[in-house]
Amino acid sequence: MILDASRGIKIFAALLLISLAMLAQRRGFRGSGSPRAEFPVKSEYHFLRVEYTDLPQFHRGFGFSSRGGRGDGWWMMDWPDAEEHFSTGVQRLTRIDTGAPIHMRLTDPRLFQYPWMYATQTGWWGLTEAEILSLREYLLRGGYLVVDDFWGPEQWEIFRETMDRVLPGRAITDLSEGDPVMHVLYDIQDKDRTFIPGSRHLRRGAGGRTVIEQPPGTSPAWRAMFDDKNHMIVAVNFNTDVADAWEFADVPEYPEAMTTLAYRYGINYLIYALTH
Amino acid sequence: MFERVTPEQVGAAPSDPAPESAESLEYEIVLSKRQLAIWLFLGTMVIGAASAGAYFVGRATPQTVVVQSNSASSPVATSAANTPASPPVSQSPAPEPAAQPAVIRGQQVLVYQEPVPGATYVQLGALDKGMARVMAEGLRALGYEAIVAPGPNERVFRVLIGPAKDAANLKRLKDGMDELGLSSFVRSYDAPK
Repeated sequence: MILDASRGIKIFAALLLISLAMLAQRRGFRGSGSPRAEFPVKSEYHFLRVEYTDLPQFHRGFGFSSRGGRGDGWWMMDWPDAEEHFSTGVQRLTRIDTGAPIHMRLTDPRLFQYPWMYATQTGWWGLTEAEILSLREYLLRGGYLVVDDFWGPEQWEIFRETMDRVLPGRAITDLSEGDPVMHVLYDIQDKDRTFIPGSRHLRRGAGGRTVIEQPPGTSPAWRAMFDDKNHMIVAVNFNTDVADAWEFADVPEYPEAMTTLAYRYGINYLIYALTH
Repeated sequence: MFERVTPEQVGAAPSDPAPESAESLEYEIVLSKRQLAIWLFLGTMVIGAASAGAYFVGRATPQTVVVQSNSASSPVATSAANTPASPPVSQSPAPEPAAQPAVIRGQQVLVYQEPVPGATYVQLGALDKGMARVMAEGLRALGYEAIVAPGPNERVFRVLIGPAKDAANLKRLKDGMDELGLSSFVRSYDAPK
């Protein structure tokens, strides 16, 4: 093979520069230096993450779900770091007897032993009829669901249509500052109904500054569904990513104010669920 | 590995003018497959070393954070059948909220503080930054002078109350935490030498 010497050097130099430029724009966070949290196996409260079926066209294949987890399916995004950090927060900031986070299928009959559960990426779920029935029964029997980290009009439609199958005709309402869940433990104000960024919304800007970029065409919305007694049964975090704030709570680059807010939302949801 | 070739050797047209001197000859690299593989390997190694260098430089670079504030749309009750996706919002950078003091009982309080050298505090925990702030603000709401202080590394922050004015004050602070059911211990900071 014959290469022109100067051309080869130019190509190599270009590759080197591109590689350096890409590294300078890296979005990831450094690996966790925090020791893994330890929790009792049996406790009053366990963070329950629900496993669901993905829409076939959006199915997530095998890969990293967080710095500490790998697997396939959208249900596991941010697992296990997010729930470990949040559960530590519940342990330290409340008197709730908090145990090890768990996850199980939406159709698992043990679901009914846990009054509070979390589902992520619900703009890409494609629940089977069995999952729809199980979720309906769970919510109508007093269970509380938090959904999080789904974005844009298309994902909203998927979520809305799914919830209309679960609880037909039931309203999805924007939370207001006057709702009890906003004050059950921490006072969450109107200004706090803001955008909590995911790690993918952070980038390193000029001078090493971390810059938050809200996805174009999205606006944070904090919504809810209520039962016939006007008890909140579904917390809807739309166009915002509470779990990433939990997941990266120990990362210096992640904005502290957002972590603080995410703990407050999560703990308020939990206290509300346990007391209503 | 390097070989000087004439235009004829690389297929130049016979009508091309012949080089007048050695200086006007073009130099080209002729590589065997093995040599090409070696060069590619060396190139990869150099790029890898440069990438690693850039990574460590990036790690060592101090950072500040710019957060944009976006207010949510006003509350509107809608049905599941017609709740719209939220409209687009404009993006505008704003100062980082972490730098803003907390508002406790109507007063602005700087929660993040360096401990006073030589002073004694009661430590409530060594936590991540967000959790530490929530705890400190909660304690301030109860009337304690709580601060979030740097911890042993950049991931861990200490929640402290104090500084204690004297031994009796220190005991009152410690007893107060015990009454709240919060585990705590006394931490003294060295006086400047």
